[in-house]
Amino acid sequence: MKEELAALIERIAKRDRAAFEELYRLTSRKMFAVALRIVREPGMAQDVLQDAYIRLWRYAHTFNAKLSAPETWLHQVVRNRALDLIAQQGPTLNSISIDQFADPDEAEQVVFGHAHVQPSDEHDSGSIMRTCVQRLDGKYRQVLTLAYNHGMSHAEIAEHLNVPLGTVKTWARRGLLELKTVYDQYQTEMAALAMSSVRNSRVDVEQPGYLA
Amino acid sequence: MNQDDYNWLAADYVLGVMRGPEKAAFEAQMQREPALAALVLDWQKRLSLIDSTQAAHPKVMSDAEIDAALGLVLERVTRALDAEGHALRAEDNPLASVGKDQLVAMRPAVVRLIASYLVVLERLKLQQQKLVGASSPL
Repeated sequence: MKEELAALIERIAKRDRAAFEELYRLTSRKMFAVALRIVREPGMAQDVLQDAYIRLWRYAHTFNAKLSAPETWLHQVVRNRALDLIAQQGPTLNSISIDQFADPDEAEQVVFGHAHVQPSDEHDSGSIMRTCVQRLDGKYRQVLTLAYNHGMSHAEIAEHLNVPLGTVKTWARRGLLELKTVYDQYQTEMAALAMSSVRNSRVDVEQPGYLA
Repeated sequence: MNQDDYNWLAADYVLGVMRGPEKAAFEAQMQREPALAALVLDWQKRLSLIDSTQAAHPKVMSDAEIDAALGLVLERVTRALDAEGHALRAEDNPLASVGKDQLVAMRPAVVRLIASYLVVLERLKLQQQKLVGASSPL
């Protein structure tokens, strides 16, 4: 998926409209969810998406696959547009209750990106990701989630959680420090996963009667 | 400001808690300083882990509503890109902004210009023939 998206962005940089439409088909559902969680209004989320994909078309040539994963890059474009929009709109927009946009229990979750069947290795990497994030202290994870996924400022988080502003800032700092460690662990576990898939594929090839 | 301060600024920027003039100033500084941009990229990778646990609530919109919304956005984006492409093509061709009446008015001048060019070309040919004749062995 990562390579596929990077190849599409490369084609978009050369003004390939078919590649642009394919990228939109593959990513727009998830990006719509990203925008919706921040602006909390479907019409506004559509505006964010429109703006973000036009920017993607204009600035595809600035994407560098060596520096960033395509989905992370696109995610940032969408988040930035959404944050700019709520900053322009002022506090009224983001005062819409977060409850209906917060995640329900894992069992009830409907993932926006579910339309695309992921290969098994992406399922594995996804579960490693989720396991790593669960290692973060609950309150730190909550502060980071409210800021990163819901576009809330320190002050809005303080109000939402009913804790002092200073406490929120401290939790955010500690959460970021923990996240740095957790991300390093994630990298190590992903490297181990890659090694084991290489080993497994070798074993498969060496099995007698193996059919390619 | 030391490396640690820059690191926290980059983290706050990616986390989304940096707002207003502070955010604009940081973005301008990031354009000038590749080291700061690199710190931002590192935090983008780390914070992308936070997004991995997220899902949208099914109550907000149905699948059909999402499909309709996404179709509408694609239509709007396509129209915007078509208009942009048209504007770019117009920019490439300076005559695209000239009206039909103006083109008709320009016609005699263009005909004179072409005629002058042909006359000059003819004179050059004659001169070249003379030069070849003068330099040929007897």
